[in-house]
Amino acid sequence: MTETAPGMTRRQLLRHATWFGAAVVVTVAGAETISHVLGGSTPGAAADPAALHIVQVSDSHIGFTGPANTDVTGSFAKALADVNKLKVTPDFVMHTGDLTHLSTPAQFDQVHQMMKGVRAGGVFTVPGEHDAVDDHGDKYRQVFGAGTHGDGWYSLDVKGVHVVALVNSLILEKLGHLGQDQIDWVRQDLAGLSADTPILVFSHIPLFAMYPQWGWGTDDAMQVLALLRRFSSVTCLNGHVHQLFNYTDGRITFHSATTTAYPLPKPGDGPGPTPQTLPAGKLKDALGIREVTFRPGGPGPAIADHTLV
Amino acid sequence: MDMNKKFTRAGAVIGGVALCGLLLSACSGGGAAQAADTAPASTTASVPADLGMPAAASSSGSSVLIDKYMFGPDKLTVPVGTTVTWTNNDADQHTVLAKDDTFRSGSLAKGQSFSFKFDRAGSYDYRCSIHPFMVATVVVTQ
Repeated sequence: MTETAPGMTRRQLLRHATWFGAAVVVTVAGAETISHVLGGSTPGAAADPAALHIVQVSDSHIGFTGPANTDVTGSFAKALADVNKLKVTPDFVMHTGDLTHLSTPAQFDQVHQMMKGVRAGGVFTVPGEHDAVDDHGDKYRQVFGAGTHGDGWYSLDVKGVHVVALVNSLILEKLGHLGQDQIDWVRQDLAGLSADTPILVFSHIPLFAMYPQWGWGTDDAMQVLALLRRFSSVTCLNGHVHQLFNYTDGRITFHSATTTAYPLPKPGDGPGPTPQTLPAGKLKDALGIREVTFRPGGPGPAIADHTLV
Repeated sequence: MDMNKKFTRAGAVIGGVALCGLLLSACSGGGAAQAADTAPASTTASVPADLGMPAAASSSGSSVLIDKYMFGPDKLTVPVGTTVTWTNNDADQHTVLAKDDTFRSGSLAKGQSFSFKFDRAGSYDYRCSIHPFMVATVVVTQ
């Protein structure tokens, strides 16, 4: 088991968190540290029906072919099976993008069919750039865009938490991009909320500058972050980078999730963010799912990342 | 509502967990998708060195190899009228997409190629739309 020691620096955490080779990785959010093994449950969550319990999966890349993972479909199926093994049924599962590798209708259909088997109160998605390689996300929205605004963004309120799902991957530039229409929508979306409403933001590409040289950032995210600063608890969860990474900016915390497909290098390690082929038997330790639990009145969510069982 | 439909499709029943309060925000707004940036190809910023050493300065030929998630050469200089051919040598798929949309390939599997004839001088930045960190340039000279 890997645990985050108090006072650990971000660099230490990064080294600790990448290639997390144990059954469980614990991350800290707010003032809480939660540790448990898969199949257990976040302490208190089961006993507290008011707690919001969600799961994040990301970057399944259905359709990828390459030595870094010769069976991405099998890995994604395993991840979804792991979700179904959790003792607490999640209120919803969020897939934070790159559902497919090449945006083909068959790949979207496969992801759609697979996610129907998830035991959860709901299944939500945001698109990654691999879900929009040739059509600005049209095929993605045909399958997953029902009920969304604009290019596929939306919000919802669950158990006192305001959830915002943003689209920053439909871009021709290197960095993620939200666009003025979406930023204006966020402004209206947040306008009526009191400052003590916990805010949970999902996007595919990080909203913080994790490593802009590789496109791991969003060029106009500051405009949205400015709208979020008045809230006492803001948690931003993203995919795209295929590894765990935490960052804090004032009262806003950012948590990059790992993938169910294949690892990417640490920021700046090598010529580019290309699929990494691990030694035999090591791949599953780099893949995982994430549990996020909000308890009413808590300081923020508890976040636990699990490698695939 | 569509979100509720998603819940139904997920087939989940959670005892004691009411999701009735899970609603789309009532906010309006969120306009139609903006068209992609369609700025014309940049013909500015010709580097003086290029003027003194045309074509051969950064590359020769009219082929670009896509290998190990890189375009090689990442700066190809050709005279106007040249047909440039990109060939993918990776197991993973790639595309060739001009920043100004002058040219765009479909997905190229290993061994597949894409060609485009450059009829106008200029500097054409392009990327792989599947892997946007893969960026390169074709410079077309008169």
